[in-house]
Amino acid sequence: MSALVVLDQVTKAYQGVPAVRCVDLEVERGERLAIIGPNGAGKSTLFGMIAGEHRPTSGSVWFDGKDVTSQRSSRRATSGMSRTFQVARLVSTMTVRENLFLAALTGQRRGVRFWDAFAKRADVWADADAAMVDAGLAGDADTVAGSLAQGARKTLEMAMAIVQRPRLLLLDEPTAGMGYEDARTATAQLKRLLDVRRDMTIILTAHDMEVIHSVAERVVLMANGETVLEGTPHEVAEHATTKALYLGQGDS
Amino acid sequence: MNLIARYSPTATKLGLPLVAGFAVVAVLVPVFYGGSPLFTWTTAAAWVLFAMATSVMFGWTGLLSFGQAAFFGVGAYAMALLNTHVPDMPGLVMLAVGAGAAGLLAALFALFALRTSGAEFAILTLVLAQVLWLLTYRVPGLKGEDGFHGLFAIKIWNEPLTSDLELWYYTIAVVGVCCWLLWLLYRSTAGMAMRAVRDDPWRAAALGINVRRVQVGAFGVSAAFSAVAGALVAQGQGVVGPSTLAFSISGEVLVACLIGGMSRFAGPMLGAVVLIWVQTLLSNVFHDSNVFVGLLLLVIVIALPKGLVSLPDKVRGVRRRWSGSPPPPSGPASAERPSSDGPIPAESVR
Repeated sequence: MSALVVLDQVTKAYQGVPAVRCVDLEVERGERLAIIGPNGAGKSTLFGMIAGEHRPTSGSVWFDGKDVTSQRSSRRATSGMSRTFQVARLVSTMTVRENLFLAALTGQRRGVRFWDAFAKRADVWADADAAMVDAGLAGDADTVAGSLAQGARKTLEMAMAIVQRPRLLLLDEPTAGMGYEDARTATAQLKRLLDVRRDMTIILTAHDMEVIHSVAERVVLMANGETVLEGTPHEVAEHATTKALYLGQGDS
Repeated sequence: MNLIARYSPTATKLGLPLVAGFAVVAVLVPVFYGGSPLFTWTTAAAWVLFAMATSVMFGWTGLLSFGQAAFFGVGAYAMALLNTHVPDMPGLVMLAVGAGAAGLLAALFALFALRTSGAEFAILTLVLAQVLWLLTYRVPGLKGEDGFHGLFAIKIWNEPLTSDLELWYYTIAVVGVCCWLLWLLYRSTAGMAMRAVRDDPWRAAALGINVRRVQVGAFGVSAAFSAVAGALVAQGQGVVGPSTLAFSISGEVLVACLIGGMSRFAGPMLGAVVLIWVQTLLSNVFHDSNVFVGLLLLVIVIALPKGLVSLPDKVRGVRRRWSGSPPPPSGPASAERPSSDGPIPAESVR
């Protein structure tokens, strides 16, 4: 019925300097929204407030009809948010398979228990292995995550976010730091996946317009911590404001 | 972090070998040792538990504490106080009470102290231990420098222990059961969560793991088992004084963890046995043996940064170099996937 995510006059200031100012945003269920903007526009801060790593200085964040403004990020994760980071964050001493296991555990909405031996959770391992094959990481099953190449790190993190079975998937720069070929492969994989999971709501930030065009239905442009423009990917990309903002400072 | 490597999958099958290993050691040690050396083994057994408990925080969860003596001491003093005021209480119950008290104290302390992190947190733990140390002088019931004596008389269940041999069996049994409990924790999903929190708290939180709860829990568990170790040492020596809360205790247990290495479950156990024996043997020869313990640590850190448990890997590496065969590839991923530092698409915005 109502929107899945609602940001109500959200502001975040660091030592008095606002990074995000008075942002209002509604994201409908099943919607695919991209937030774009030049470096320092406040995209990642906004992301952090949705996921719960940052607490807004003022304003409120609503998820699925509940005010989650003061809810910690782990609670939001168990209630159906999952995310990737601009620079992939993994459990670096665990293998690819073990990383996916931890994500699949949350996907099954099961907490961690000291009496629950991980080796015996065959159902969770099955989920993890399926996700590993889907993501094309089967060859690296027993590779320690910390020794993966950058592209594979991003791929693994994305697979983890998805096997968490989120209602809201937050992708922070899904192709940042990848080479051109890797980025195109990742985009194609992402698109394929999203076509299958129509129920998943997605918010992503990106510089890479190819990702935005192939994934997003709506685009919000941010600059200096404010939302300045909103529309379809095509409209926003062609708009004079966008061109002016990116001119000379596009992330080349 | 270099000192703490990944968990080894073999640990999931460690349960039976662990229990069997304790049983074998329990039987074999008295065959070869008696008298004073047997007593050293008893002390080493208690320190095995202390080092394992410390590793729960330091190695598994990534929280560095300079104040482990606080919990070691709480266990020892709980034993002494209960023996003074409730002499009929069975010793095993005293152990449990001490463990509970230390666990609770640690959890409460952690709730506040974990608002800080890293070095600040380590310093706060040091302060806690020093405050408790000072209390033993200020609170009359704790008897200051004199401490408590006569803990040999504590009844384990019905009867007190009457010989070094009985003390050995009792100590190794308690330590064995406690290490087995810690192993259950290690191979549980909660144990996995601890390692996730250690490696990257942000990732752990995004996976739905309540980072603060895991840290407080790890601190509490670590403290409870440290208290059991402290109580066992106190019972063995029959004396409890402020030295059980001294900073040197906190330092030595970290040294035991580092000597053994925390990349394997059993590393700190090995470290504790080596530390206690080296200390004992050297103190028979030299006046201040700690200088040499320090030198030993220095040698190990330089030669084997991941502790004694990494010795087999190191030896294998050296032998491979001698035989001249090429080293294995560092990882399958790096060979197959190109580095991602390639060009960034020029048309980022059209």
